[in-house]
Amino acid sequence: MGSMIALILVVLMTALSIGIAIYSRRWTRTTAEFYVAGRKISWMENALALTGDYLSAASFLGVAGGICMLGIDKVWDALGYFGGYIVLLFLLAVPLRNLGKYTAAEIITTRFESKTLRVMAMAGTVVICGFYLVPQMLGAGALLQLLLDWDYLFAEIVVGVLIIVYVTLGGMRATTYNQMIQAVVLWGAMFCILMLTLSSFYGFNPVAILTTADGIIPPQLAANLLKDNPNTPNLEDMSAREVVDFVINNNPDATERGLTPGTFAPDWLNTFSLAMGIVFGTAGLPHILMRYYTVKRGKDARTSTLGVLASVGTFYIMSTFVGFAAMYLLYPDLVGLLLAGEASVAKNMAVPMMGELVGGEWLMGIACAGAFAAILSTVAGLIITATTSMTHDLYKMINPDASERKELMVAKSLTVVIGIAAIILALVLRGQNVSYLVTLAFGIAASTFFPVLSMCVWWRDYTRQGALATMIVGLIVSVAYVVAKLAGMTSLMGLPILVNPGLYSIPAAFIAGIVVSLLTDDRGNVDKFLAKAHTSE
Amino acid sequence: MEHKDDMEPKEPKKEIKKTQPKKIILATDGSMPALMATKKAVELAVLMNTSIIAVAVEEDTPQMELEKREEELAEEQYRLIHVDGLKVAEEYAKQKGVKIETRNIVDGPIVGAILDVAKHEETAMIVLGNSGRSGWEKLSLGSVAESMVNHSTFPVLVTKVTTDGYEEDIRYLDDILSIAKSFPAEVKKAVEKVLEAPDIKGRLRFSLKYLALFLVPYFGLAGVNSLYKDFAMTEVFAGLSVAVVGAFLLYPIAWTLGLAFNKAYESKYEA
Repeated sequence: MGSMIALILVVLMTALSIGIAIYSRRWTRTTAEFYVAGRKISWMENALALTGDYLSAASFLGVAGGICMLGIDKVWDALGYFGGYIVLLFLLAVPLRNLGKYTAAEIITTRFESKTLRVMAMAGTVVICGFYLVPQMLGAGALLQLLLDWDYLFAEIVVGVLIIVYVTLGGMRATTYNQMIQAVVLWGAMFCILMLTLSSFYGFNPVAILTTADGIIPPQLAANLLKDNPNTPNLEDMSAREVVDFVINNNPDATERGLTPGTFAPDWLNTFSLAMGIVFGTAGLPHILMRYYTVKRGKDARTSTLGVLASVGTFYIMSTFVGFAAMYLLYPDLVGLLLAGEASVAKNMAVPMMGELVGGEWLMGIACAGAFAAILSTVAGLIITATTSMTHDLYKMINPDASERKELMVAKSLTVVIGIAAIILALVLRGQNVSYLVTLAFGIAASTFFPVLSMCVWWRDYTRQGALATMIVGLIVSVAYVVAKLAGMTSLMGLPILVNPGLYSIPAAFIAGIVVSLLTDDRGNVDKFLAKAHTSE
Repeated sequence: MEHKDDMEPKEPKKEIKKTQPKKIILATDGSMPALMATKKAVELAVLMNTSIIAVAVEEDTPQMELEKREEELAEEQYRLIHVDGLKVAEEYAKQKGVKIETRNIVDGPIVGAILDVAKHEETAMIVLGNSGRSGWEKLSLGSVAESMVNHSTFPVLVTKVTTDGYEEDIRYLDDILSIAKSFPAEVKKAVEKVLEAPDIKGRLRFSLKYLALFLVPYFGLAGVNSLYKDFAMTEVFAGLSVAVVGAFLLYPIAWTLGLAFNKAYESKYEA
């Protein structure tokens, strides 16, 4: 399905977003207009930048991609990503802003002076960024596969090299403005796709999208049913309705439909684990926490987060509808792709494919271009967060006399290392849904930084040893269960492997922190720290 | 910005205007090119028998720590020196017997802010230094001097520290540089205030109350979907089941709670 127009749009959008980002910084210095009210809109700028940071391949491609494959169980991705900001708003946004620190490690070590804690926080940051990074690479690879019919391996290498060059040459400058622009492009693209879908196929009745999906065996299940069926006709020649009916008529025992819970998370353990892992994950994502540094005051931290709730909430509602619409409208394509072994395209490309269906090559191109630019900037943000942490929290400790310039150089060389590692992991994990992989990163974040940060800013009797125990237990348990899941194991240490580690690792981290804190007594700079965290400027 | 008091009768005000010569607006950021501009501005003020308004603009754009650091590192080669521009200008003018007033503006855009000062004053001219940025840096950060020349309705004097005549320039700047040494740019540090430990437990209760109001329906839906599947599949609205309607209801619930939390927080802790 290679498309020249789409490819040109991707290249243009990438160039344009870099160009606008550069020009925007120049504009903020040299424009002759002086708005006294300028400061008042800063919360909006921050809300947009946060939105741009948050809407990566997982949200844009993965949410709708997952929903169209498996149905309502995948709506949890959207709900959790959205709800995560509520947790952040109520528990952490204001204290983190008041502390004025920008890496998780710095926040923790402001209360507890400990090198071990700093290194542990660095490890957590790198692991979370890594798990978040790989699905972005996967999404970009699948995009190039779709657009250019490239081989996946080749596509991944191209993307990896492009990203390394982007980060080492462009670096961090002007990323804030870039994120703002992307927030607008992605939101706008999703809006156009949904509106055109509603007008072309559903007579502007969104409920019809849902009721139609309720009569469909989700594509991923359908492909499993058809896999061994020798009577499977050539799906390409059939309409969506024909394929849907064929699958249902040939499998009278299959009761699952698009709106039947349990297609992905089959029981309460899995459902709760997934819901927990995502909703508490946002408040532990290093690159999102870092963004609060640009917010001016505690009050702005709240209003910015409210802005994000509005923008990402509406975005996920639209994505949910687009996903369910794709389940029906693209049914023959999706099932066909899965049967042909093109899982990475089938599970992640529903949004661009919907763009093509309702708006032709142009809309597909815009969707791809937006997604690609979002991936580039998210990856850049993640790599920079990881390398900053590695140089700031580890290298600076080993070599305290290193100049800023040297530190920056080390950070840039680490970029190359991380980039190569990401390419390799993206090759290993091919064929997975992008959003699913990101929910795993959320699970790790929810088990590592969410417990330690919330206890740090809210609990007077929390101790240095307790903080260390929280992070070690949270990180080890969550990573162990994620790796076990990806390796296809069914149980670990007597517990069944779930779709997300959250149900085990989040309570484990809290319990470890509480028990160890009750047994030890180094509370760190507790008075000063808590006073600062809870006093707005 | 400051505005002149309009309460006075018109006649005498005109008188004042006639006798008071127009002022020189000096823009400074404490870099070497800015020191050159400072020296020229003071020399001109002596010749014109007028006073100076020195303006420094701190930018206030949303930037992450690393964005800022990378930009600052790239800037160093053009700045050559980093001092407190306003204090140096004040001291230097005082030595030369020129009246000076300083303004520190805590918001960009740089050009716009300086022009705003000029518009509200009796301005004779604007003096500023040219950093001599080129290539990538000029592309990404633009030239304040160039933009000033393009946008200003007042005469603009742009000074330069040239690479060719660098030694000569430095000799010329000798007196102001020796003053500059005693005013290094302050590394901005938040004032460490002694803060009273607030009522943490009360605040936590407040936050958890709102959090529970969201998490109960959120996990409630998870429970219904996984444990009471028959109920989850019951139609409640327009042919849609509890599971579907519940999912979409979580959005407005969260929005309402978010707004309510913000409002309550404001009245409780920021009143």
